[in-house]
Amino acid sequence: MKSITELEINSVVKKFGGLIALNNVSFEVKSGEILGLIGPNGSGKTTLINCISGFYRPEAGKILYKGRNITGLKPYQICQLGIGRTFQIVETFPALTVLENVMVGAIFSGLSSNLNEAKLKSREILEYINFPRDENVLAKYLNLGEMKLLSLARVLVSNPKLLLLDEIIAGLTPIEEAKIIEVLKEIHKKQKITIVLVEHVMRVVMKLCNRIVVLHEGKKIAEGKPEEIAQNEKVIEAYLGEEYLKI
Amino acid sequence: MGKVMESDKNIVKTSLTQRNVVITTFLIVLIITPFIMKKAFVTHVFITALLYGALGASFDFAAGYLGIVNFGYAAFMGVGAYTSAILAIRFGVNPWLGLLLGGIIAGILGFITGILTLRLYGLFVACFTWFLGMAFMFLIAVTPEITRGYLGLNVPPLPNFWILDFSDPLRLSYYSVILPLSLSILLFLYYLGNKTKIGLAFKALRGSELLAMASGVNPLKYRVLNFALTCFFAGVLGAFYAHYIKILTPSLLATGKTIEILTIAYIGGRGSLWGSIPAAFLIISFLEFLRPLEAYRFIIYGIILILVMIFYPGGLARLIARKELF
Repeated sequence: MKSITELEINSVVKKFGGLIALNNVSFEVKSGEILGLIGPNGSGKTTLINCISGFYRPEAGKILYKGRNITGLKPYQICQLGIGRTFQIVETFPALTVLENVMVGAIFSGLSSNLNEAKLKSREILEYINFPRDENVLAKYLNLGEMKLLSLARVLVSNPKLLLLDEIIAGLTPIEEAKIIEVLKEIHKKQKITIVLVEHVMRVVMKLCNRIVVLHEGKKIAEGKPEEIAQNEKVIEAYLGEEYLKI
Repeated sequence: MGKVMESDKNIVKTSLTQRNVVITTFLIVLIITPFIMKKAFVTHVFITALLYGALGASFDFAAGYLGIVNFGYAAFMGVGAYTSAILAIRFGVNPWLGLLLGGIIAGILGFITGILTLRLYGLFVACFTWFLGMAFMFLIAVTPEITRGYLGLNVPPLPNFWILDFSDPLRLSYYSVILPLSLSILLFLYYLGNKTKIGLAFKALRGSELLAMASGVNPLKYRVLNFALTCFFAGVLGAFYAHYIKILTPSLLATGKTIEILTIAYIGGRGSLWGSIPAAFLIISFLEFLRPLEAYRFIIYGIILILVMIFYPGGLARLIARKELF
């Protein structure tokens, strides 16, 4: 089966004043694959996600989605193209109910303009992921794990083609983690969604991802299958420290 | 459905039926009092309170719902007022039509203002609209050929319609207009804010603009829409005011007038529409008692506003909803 490029990061540079957060980063994400994006804190992973999703505009380089140049598009436009993202520091609409939180995702992504239809679709997704709380609970009363599940529901309700997940596993209990992984696996299998997974929890990355890209200080230092990355000297050096190389 | 926690029943949103009873009682008292009392002064207080209540609610639709504080709000009211007045005087336009046209002109001006300023936020929007308001006020003052400036513009009353006689000294006809007008505006804003897709966008932007954007909400589009709508209503109410008071001066557009509306909106409760009505009644009646203090009124306004913002940020609306007043 021919593999199609879904997302192309092409020599992207992002600076904040004198700080170069992304230094000529290039890689491709194939349609239907789960790509892990790993690296130390501050290596530019979230910055890259923000560039892809329109929150930042790169100083140089291009981002192409299904061949179309999406660099510099606004976040709401990116969403309407079928690219969904979650936030590293989990975001909800605190004063809205669980159901309303998901409905926002259903309506404004362009899925349904009808409130009732959106309500139904939202209920469906909440049911599908087995959301543990009443749909009328205000989001501000949820705990972290529930908020993360909620953001997953919100981003999934619009049937996105590309998912950018920014540290969605971090901070979860083993049970919560297992649940999210289960949902991701199912959705990926059923809908052939392409996923870019920014994560620190290595065993999840190794287990889920088809390929991994490693960033360090804004540069890509490695790219390949999980087994290759696990043995890559540069990756070991960046993550585990130089001493381990001598062993 | 997954396992639902028992304690969720307490924090699930419920309809406040007790609040509805209070509101309904208040509404009935509201409607019948001027007809019973048959005193011009009482009717005037009711008309003014309903007018400012609707202005406050409309102002709050931008300030409380989206955090857009329009510090030149009175100017949009004034634009509506002068538009309708001048159209009636110079072009013989029926003031009933003038109400709508005043709103439309104010709304268009609001739309343009929004496009220019609503990429900015917070303090910058307040400043810009403040200056804009002053600019409109001076514009009217320096074109006496059209507006009669500070000499004052005499405005014709609303033309008699059906059983409504607007020369009635008791002013009950004007009351019969402002009552449905204000309540319709409130109902419309409530419906828009809570039962439509647009209202959901507003709430989403208020909750987390970042997340709203990532979910497909275009912030500029909805901010401008909200702002322009509130300016439209300011224009309609301003036009009514023109044909009611029957004399206009540029001071109608002054910042002080915006502050009166802001005070009513904030005391009523930011984010609650209907709270502006009791707040307006409170302030307007208070105003009558404080009339001898003329200029010192604003000091009182300031103190009340500060106290409310510190101790009762939810305003009257939350006090009544939580039954803390009883």
